Amino acid sequence: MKITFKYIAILFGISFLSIAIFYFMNLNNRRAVETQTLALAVSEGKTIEKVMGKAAVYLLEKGESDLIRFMNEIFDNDQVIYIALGRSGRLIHAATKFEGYLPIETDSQSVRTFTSPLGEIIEVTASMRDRFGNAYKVHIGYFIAAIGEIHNAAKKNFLLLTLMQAAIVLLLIAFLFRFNRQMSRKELEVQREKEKREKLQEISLITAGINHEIRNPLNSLYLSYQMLEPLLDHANQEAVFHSNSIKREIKRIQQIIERFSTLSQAISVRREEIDLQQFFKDMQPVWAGMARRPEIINRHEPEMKITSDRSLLTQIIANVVNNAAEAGASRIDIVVAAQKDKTVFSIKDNGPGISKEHVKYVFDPFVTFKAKGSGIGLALTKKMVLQLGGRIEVESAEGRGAEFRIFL
Amino acid sequence: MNYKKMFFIYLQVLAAISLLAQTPAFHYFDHNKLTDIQGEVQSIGYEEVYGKKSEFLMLSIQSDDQRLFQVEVCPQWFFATDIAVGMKIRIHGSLLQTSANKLYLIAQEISIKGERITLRDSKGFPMWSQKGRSGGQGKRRGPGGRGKR
Repeated sequence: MKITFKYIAILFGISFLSIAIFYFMNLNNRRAVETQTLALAVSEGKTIEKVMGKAAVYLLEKGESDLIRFMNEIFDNDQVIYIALGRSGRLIHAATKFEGYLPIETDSQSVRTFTSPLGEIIEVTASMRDRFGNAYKVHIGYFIAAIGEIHNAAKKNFLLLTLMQAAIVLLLIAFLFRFNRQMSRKELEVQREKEKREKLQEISLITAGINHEIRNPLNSLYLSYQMLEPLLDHANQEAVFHSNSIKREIKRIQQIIERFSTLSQAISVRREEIDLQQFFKDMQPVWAGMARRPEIINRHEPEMKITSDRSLLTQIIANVVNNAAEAGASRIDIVVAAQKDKTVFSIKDNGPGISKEHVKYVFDPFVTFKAKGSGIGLALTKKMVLQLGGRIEVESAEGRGAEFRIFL
Repeated sequence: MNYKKMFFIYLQVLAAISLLAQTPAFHYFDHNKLTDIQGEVQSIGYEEVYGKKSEFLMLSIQSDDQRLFQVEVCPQWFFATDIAVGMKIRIHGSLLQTSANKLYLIAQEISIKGERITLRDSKGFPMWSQKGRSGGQGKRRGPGGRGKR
């Protein structure tokens, strides 16, 4: 799936919805715990109310003072906040643990709960009559510390669960987003590879055509030139100049055809042990034949040897060096070093460098950023490096030269 | 008049004195009897209203309609606002009528010099007894915007 605004919106929508669902599920759980604990307390309160009612009737038989004494004993309990005794709608006795705090409702019945800074308070109201017919109401307000602790734990768990679930959702979404981005990148790479293959197929066709249509007439032309050359007046400077020109251009066309063929054909590899010191000595005539010759310095450990295809390696190094020279470099440093199980050829130049937007296309065939380039050299170089089982990479910035690294 | 009768009258007088005393016998913050008063501070005193727990700040207030109120504020350590005789004050609290002309008010919130100080919650739970509150004053809401309802 392509990363579009719609895609991002969907991801955000899903994550928001998931978090919201989790939030409400957790909230529901928390409410259920709170409601159930209170229901339990109320149910317990109703039992207390019945026991209290019976006890009060029994005590009132003896007199109000016995009931008050009994209530005071209840008040001594740590959980009890307040007690109150009403007779015929008037308060005749009360006690509270907090100055003046007596939140009774004179008309309240049975059991009620309400919130206070101490937590949920349960008020049990037992109603009874004495033998003279006087109506009494006993109020006992108490709190169960465990309820507050359960509520706090439920609140903490709710927050923790919601945060954890939100974090998991966000992580999953981030992972999905990243995975999708990688897939998109891979898709793009596959697409580019496909395009490259198609391009190479086209090149193969063109090369076959060139081979067939141009190589033979060109050979005939060269033969004709060879036959014509001894007939020339070598004292005539102008004739010699034009003759050499024809010869050079025919050679150039032959070279171009050769390179086209190599780009589209399979390259065979013949490995051998190469002494680097000897290798770079053998490269000297190659450098000498370059149209623009920069200062080339090579460094490596003495007696360093590698196993590779001598011919391919020569072409690879020559191509990269040639490319730098054509770009206008005046100095090229070639450093060879062993890195783990690879040999790394670093070819660094002081040329104009390659811009950031061009650097990713430098190995593409027929892509050139030089005025007289053909776009074959580096593409061919990459093909040869791959054929040797290695890889090639480039690092460059405009105006700061370029460094090609070949891992073999 | 015999001694028995005199003793009986003496007990009745004691009972009347007790009824007329400034602090009612079963006084508590009745959240069903809330009222607002506005007036001037006549006197400032301290009284052990709830046994020997701590001394409470007590104010005598002459309301704008010329009624005299005895106002129970809070433990004196909890009240940190300057207050003086003659100051204008507004009080929201639970009203207890101890006799025909003695009015007793347990303050829930007082406004003084534009500052509102909450002393009890809506059901009368004292702010000074809340967990974690050790030495401050009640929730303040004044021109400075401190506190909230």
